Amino acid sequence: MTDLMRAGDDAAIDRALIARWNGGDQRAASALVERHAPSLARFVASLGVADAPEEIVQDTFVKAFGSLDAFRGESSLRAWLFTIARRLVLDQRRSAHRMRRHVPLENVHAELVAADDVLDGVVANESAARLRDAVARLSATQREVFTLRVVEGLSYKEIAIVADTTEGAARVHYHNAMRSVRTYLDA
Amino acid sequence: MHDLNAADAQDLLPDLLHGRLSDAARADVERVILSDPDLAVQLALLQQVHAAHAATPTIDMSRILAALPAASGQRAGGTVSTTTGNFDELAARRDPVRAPRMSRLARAAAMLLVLGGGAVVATRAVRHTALPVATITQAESLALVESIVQLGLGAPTDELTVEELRALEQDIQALDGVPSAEPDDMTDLVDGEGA
Repeated sequence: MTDLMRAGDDAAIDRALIARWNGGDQRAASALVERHAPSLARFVASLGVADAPEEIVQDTFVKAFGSLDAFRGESSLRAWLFTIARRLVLDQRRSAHRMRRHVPLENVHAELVAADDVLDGVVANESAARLRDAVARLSATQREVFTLRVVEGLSYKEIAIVADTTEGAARVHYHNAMRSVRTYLDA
Repeated sequence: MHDLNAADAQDLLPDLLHGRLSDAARADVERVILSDPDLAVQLALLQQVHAAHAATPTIDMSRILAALPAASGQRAGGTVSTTTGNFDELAARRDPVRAPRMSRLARAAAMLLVLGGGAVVATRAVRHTALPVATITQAESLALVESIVQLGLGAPTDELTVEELRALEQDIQALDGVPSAEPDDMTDLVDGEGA
């Protein structure tokens, strides 16, 4: 499939910027953050972090840049950043659970609705809300895979890395999610 | 590639949406879509879903940048230079992991430079070693940002060809990471401060 894709273009730019940063050019960090922070913020919000997605995004970059000189490029930088962000979100949830302030998984939908409220000022029309509702009703795994694939444009290979699954499973989750969304919207 | 079937094309719809297909692959997928109305419906749905989720939560880029550790070459003792137009944010940043530490004198020097019209600075105080302080003017800072934008680093690269990207990589490699003018060595001042 790689011959079909031009996603390697983005990876080439990331590699060039990482090389610059490893060479001591702090400006490359600015370019890397600007390239990936918005999509990371959307992804973190989609995982139900409604209160402070920026904190997770910042911690993601701090962790990533702390070991960027050891980044071997076996996966894309984007997939690596998403993986770090996802782990931070899971850590945050575990921590909240220990503090007995954990929100049960069954209530993730409510969390997403709350997260969406933040965005309602930007996307306020009824059809958009219905689309978001259709996605919010997916299972947690389907929603994560569907969001990464449709909203962020990750490949199945990248999704498998981020979500700690296989490409085949990611593909199945995506198509099941697509079917569920269509069923909900057609109802 | 001309043997794309509907299932293959369906799998590639998100890649088409995000401009991640080669020109040939895009043409193949579009050809299949034209012959399969359901794929066209799915693509339209994906476009709507993408649009409905495209809003990005507010994030403060400068705050994130201020929390980052210094670039590798700088951690090894090289010149550190960051660009930011807001010293208050730099001063108020969270305690970052492995971030460069500024000595009190360096903070004062940086503040003086900012007050004098300079844009910023950056420093790393290393015990018994020189404290390099690199300054760039606001105009230089703006020019740097513009050059990055012109190189396409801050914008989608979907429209770039492989040749353009190779040229871009060469341009990136040719970027000068060191300011044209270095200030005087501040080693004595730092040592005198007991940093």
